[in-house]
Amino acid sequence: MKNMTSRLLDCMTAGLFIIILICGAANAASTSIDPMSLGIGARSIAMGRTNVTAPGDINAIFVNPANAAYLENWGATSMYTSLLEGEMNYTMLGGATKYQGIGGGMCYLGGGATGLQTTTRDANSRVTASGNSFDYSNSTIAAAFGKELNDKLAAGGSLKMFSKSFSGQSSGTGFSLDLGLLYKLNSALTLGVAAQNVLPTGINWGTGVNEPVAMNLKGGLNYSLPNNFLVNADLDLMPFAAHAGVEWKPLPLLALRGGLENVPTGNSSSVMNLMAGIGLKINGLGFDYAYFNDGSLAVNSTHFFTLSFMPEMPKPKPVVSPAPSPAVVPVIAPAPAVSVPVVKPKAKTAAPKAVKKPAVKPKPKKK
Amino acid sequence: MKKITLMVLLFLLPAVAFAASSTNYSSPMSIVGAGGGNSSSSNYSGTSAVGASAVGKSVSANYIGISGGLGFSIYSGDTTPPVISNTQMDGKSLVSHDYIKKDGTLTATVTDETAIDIAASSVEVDGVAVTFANLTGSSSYNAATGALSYKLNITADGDHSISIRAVDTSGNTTIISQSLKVDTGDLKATSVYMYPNPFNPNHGAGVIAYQLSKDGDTSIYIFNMIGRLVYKRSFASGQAGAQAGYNEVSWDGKSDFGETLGNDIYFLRIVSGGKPIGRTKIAVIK
Repeated sequence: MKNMTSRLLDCMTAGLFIIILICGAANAASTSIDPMSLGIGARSIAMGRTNVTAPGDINAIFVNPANAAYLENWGATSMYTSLLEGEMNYTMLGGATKYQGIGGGMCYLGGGATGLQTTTRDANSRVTASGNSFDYSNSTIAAAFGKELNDKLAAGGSLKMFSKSFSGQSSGTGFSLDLGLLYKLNSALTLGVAAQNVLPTGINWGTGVNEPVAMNLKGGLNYSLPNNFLVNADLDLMPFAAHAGVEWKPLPLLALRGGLENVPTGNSSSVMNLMAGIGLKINGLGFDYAYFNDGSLAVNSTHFFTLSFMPEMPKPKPVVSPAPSPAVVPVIAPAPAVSVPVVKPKAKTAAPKAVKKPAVKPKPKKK
Repeated sequence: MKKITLMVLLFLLPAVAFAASSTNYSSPMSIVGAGGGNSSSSNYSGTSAVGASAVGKSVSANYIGISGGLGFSIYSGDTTPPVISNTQMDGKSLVSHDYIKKDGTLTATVTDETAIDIAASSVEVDGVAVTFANLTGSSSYNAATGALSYKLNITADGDHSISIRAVDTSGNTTIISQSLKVDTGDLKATSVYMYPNPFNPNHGAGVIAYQLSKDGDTSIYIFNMIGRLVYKRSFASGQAGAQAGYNEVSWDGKSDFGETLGNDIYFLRIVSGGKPIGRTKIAVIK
């Protein structure tokens, strides 16, 4: 029975990998951007936008849902950032919990910009504003779930709903699906893979156009080093991009982070972005900050803020173990003290040799 | 009776002669010392009656008039004003309030059905006029083709008035005048637009239009809604896209990966020296 269950899980795992690879191979040139590729959580941003492999991280479950399998408790999270010199602002709110071995959560990510102008040509054939303006907004709602399949493997899925709108012009809605796996190679190293937006459903616009949401295949690792160091690395395959980050916790409540990413920009060129940040956590309340340095245009550098809460699990009392002993020796109570004559057994000796007594001369009598 | 007849003949003879020999005039006819000819202008100047002529004066080769001691003259002539066309600065069309280079070259085609009076026609910059006859060096006027070329030599930043006054030999006048700007400070980009906006790449290429305060190395950056660079083009100072004044750059709505961008918002930056100097937002909607 146990072997059948194990085989079934292996088959499911293999099937999931195959699905992910097929989806990756079949990806056409997608055109609609997934707003969640912005990055979820200032911790992830500070560590180079790595979050494929972050077991138990409430923000990472919306990138690789398998991370939800390792949630320790319920929690809430939020994020705010302002991009492009304040022209595009994003807010994220989310929550997660774990119930009967399944971790799950939901989040909302919303962004907007105002003041787009319609244009026309004037009497001199010059382009000019026609006097009308409109606004833009997008929102994404994601529901993620993850479960441990065995003591090493976890899998998850996330359903996402997209909405994009230009006021007075057109709007579009759609949905897609993310799939993810985590594999704990050992206590220090965890590997992960996520396929994002694997469904060809896309976003349907009021103009009658359907556009697929950009599909992505991501792989990552999470490696714990001594002295509270953690290294994360992710690879995006569509298009290729590399992310890496490190976190050091000099104190239990303080984390220092740094990261970088190399992102292609087309025409055989790429841009390197640098990130840094800190995290504070006291009694489950967490504050994370990330600074993002835009390598393509310095003025676009910006900040990310995350506020989160997850009650800390009660820690088990430490057990003081006895002096190491290879075996357990039963202790036998000593016998009570009793005065017992000790009778020495006669020693068996050889028959004494006849000892000739020396002749004793009689004593002379006195006269 | 004979005297009366003679008087009538004296009055009628000029009219007959006039009718027989003038083939090139056109109405209206002006009488008695009224100014001969018409003047007209386009764009900004008002009209003015030009060329008051005393009795007996004729200045046109195209009319036949008789003025004499009888106290009036009847004549008609060229009343068509000169034509000023193809006005450009450094090869680009001009509109009032455009930026220009302080040493830019103004060109135009100045023609007339008769002839341009090069002593009366002039280019005027901030009230200082130089007649066509006195154009030298890089500046010239070719009477045969009507090609006018005038090299500016503006020394101060700010708004400047530039006019072309064309006068034909009949005294007809055409004036065009523009208020243009010179800015030799840091490069600026204004009036940055995407046309059309919203933009549908499936309907053909659009244009990115902007004014530059002077020639300068310029780049166009386009970012998507998560701040990722998707398109970049650079232009060297003086080339199309990096010239003082109005610039238009064609864009087909594709990223540098060759993919047509999806329906979404995009953020355009005009960049010079690593800093954005102009901005606009683009809506791609198919």
